[in-house]
Amino acid sequence: MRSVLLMLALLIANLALQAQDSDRKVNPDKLPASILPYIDQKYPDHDRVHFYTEKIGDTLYYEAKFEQHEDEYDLLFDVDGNLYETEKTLPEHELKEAIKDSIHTYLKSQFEEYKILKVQEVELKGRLLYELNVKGKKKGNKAYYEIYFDRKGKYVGTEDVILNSIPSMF
Amino acid sequence: MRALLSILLLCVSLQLAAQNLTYYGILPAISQTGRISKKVDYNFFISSTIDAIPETINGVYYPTKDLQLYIQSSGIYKFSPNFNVAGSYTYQRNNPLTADYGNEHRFWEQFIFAHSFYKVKVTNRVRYEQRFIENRTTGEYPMSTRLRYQLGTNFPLQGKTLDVGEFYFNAYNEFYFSLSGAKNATYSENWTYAGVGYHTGKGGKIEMGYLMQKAVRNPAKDIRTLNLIQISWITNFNFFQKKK
Repeated sequence: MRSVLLMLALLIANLALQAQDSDRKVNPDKLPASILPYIDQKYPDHDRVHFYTEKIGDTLYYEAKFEQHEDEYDLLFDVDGNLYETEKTLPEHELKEAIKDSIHTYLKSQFEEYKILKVQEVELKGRLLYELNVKGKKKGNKAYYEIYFDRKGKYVGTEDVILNSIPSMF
Repeated sequence: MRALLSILLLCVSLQLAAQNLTYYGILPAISQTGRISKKVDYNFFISSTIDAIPETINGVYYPTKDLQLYIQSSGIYKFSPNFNVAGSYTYQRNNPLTADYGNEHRFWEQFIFAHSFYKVKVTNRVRYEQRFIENRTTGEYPMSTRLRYQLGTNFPLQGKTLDVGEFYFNAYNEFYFSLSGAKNATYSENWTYAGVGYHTGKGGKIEMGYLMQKAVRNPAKDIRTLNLIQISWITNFNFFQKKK
């Protein structure tokens, strides 16, 4: 019994050490000074902001997640506090008709069947994009994709989405 | 009159013989899930059920004991974010460290369907098991089958999604129905669990909760209750992952 408890204690200590060098929650006190005032000014009605570190390749970023007026925001800042990327969820019906038509024309050309699950406005390094989460059927196989369009609805690129299995133990 | 007296005595005798057992212990568990392909994951799960408190029940002494070793490997096919099917081979050894051990080989198939209910994610899991439980007297492994239904929920305690450094809640109730083969009752077991977990990041999730396992332990329908503190380490990483 004592050895089992000792093993568990060692396991937890090991995990805590591992967690320190991975994506983790950040105390706002540790952030570059410009980040919080930027969020307060640009999103005055935001709810509680959660901050994390995120590594893309070898570059470290600070990620801020919050909601304002029921819209979800996800902002990435570099280590100097400069804004790198902004993501905001958007109901599909808020897209302009011309953009919607262009997007659907492209999706119809690619998939036998499809369904748009989520739309996000993305601003990446000054470039404005729409990111769509899509469930689509190609050659009889259903899969999930992130598909990018510019602000005129022109196709930019596609990434495959890897699903996580539903948590289940025993 | 004598017949009535006999029946009365029989009832009293049965009452005295009734032996509901209650144990208290811990259940350490490790679960690792990883990707085989875009649509297929594997899971490896191992746990041990330990009766941690010695006690005397109806004059019988029950020392601390490892009650069960459970090793489960499974393959999961992800039809969608809300619908998975899985199949498994599982090895279970009851009383693994003592002479009264018993082995079991088990195959199962299951599906899980997840949906939202008032912003809470609810999971429904149905599992069909083919169990081959060792008969130590004959050395045979006769097959029995069992159906399990688990109704569960799992949701973050901070915000809409579970992020690194945040806590989550996990709870379920699972009903066990023995369908064929040797059995003490059709509705033979019930497990209830509630726990809180913490997402550490790359180190996975650590979860701790209370698990109550109730099982019908004999044809007289006596109940064995296990009150367990379950401590789980849940990892989800891929050995060959491309860098972003």
